Amino acid sequence: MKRMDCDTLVVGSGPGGASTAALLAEAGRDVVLVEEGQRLSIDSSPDHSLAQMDEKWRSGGLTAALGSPKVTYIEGRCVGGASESNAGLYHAPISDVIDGWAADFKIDGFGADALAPFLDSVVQEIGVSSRPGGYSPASERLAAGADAMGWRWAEIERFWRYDQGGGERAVGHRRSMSETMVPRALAAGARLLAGTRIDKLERSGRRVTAGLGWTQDESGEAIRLRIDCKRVVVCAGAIQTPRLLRNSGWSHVGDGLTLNPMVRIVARFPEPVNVPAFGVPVVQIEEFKPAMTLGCSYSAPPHLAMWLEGSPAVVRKNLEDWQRMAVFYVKVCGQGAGTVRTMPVFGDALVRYRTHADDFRVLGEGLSRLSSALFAAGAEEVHSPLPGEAALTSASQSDSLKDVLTSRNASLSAIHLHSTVRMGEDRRRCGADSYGRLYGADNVYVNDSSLLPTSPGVNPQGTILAIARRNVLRWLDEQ
Amino acid sequence: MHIEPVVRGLVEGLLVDDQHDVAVDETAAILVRKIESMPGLIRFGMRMLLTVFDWYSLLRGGRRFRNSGLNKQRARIREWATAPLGPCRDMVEFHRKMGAFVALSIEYGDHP
Repeated sequence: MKRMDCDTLVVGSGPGGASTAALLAEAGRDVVLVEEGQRLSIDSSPDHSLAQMDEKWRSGGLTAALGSPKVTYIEGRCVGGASESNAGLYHAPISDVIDGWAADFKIDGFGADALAPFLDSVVQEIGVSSRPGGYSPASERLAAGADAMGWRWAEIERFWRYDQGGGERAVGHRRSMSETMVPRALAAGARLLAGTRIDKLERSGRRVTAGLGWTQDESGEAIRLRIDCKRVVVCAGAIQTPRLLRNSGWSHVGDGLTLNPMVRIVARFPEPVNVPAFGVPVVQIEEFKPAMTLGCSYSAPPHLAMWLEGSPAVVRKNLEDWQRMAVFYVKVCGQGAGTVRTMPVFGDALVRYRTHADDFRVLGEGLSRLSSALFAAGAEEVHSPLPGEAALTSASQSDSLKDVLTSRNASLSAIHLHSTVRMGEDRRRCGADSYGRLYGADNVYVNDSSLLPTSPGVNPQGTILAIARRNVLRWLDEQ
Repeated sequence: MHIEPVVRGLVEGLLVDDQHDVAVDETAAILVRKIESMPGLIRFGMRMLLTVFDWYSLLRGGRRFRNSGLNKQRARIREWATAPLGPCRDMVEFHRKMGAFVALSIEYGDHP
């Protein structure tokens, strides 16, 4: 068994964990940062590729919340977590949502105004920028469709740094955690253990005394690990954080899982719109946020093939025109709820999610709106997300998408998961206090997407980073 | 049970047409690897479904799925793609979507 000790053990190196480790280490704390996945270079595999799925996502990206229907989701599993492979979209939180959380969940010292300086710090320190030279043709079509419908749209900035002079094909560099906060943590003296999993927290009453798990020796063999510590900050994401805490005896966490169910459709245009070199399309229709977001996905042929229905010959025929086609999505603030439990036999988290009946209606409404906008932007075909359905060929058919989705036929996926250890003073509904200290424990903290009381309705990475920063600075003040 | 022959049959039945070559063996091998990397409960369920699907074809068509001809394989896939039980439909959907993603990734490369 390998033994270590430290002042603060941080479990998980995604946006919450990497920020926590960096800020604590810079304040002089002796920090060990543990990450289950490997430490990889930012360009170890191409974005959106099969290799990236295998390298940087848990279970190769094949995780699902069980239910009717199941909802597939992804979790980052490498140093830097999901920030290493996600779109890196930065969206400031919606003030009404943040103020609503403060009131509904009784979060002390919280609100849009109180969070604003922490958001400013995140933007300055990590770097957020727009793509120079405009955005992809698919994004331009979505914006044109929104304009034609009289809807608001916006280019979403990214945690990204673009090369000067890169022109319209500028690719730039992802400002992920492995490029920003993890190096800061290491420079300040934090120790990073990649390829290391903490399975359980050893307790003495209300206090954690050690993290127990496994790591790898020099030859790559798995060996047991014990890290003695004075405090633990769990930042393993909305699934793995409650799994670890429940496995350590805190059974009041893991309820209330929220996510944003998504459905996708493919549209064909008369002219080329699909240029994978542009990367992730960055335009979203804002008109219906926070309830609903309409956007465009990365649409290389392998991705198109996933979302085109029909026989192999039909799919192949469509792919002959792949440059004229792109994948678009509807994402809604799910009203359903789920749970995370531990699985004694399999050792994984058991994730269940019940999609609210109204979510199918809202998703259908979104499909109809999206289809209308795409036809208004010049689309000649919009492919139904359901097998066996003919492609729509005119805007007047868009209404037919309103009622197509049911629990039996919907193919739902989610990228953002939250709310399994909600923060706030309302102990009936919250797993941690207003600053992330776990109820029922004296030296255990949570600092990741689990704390968000509900789905924020926008890409959450900026909000997670700001809340993590707020909480760490508070803990340092208290100590 | 070795699931690769069943996965291979699903790849052929779902992705192959007369006009285009598909890297069936490579796609099936990657899909099997993906299945083996799934979380434990989902992996167990997927293996169970593949096993039942293989023997279901024996009851319906006289031969296990892995040993059936392409037309009979496609008939069995159609039955499960529209089955009343969600997990049966999910099994077919997984192989169609992920199989298409893998096969096209092999064909086009990661960035065309």
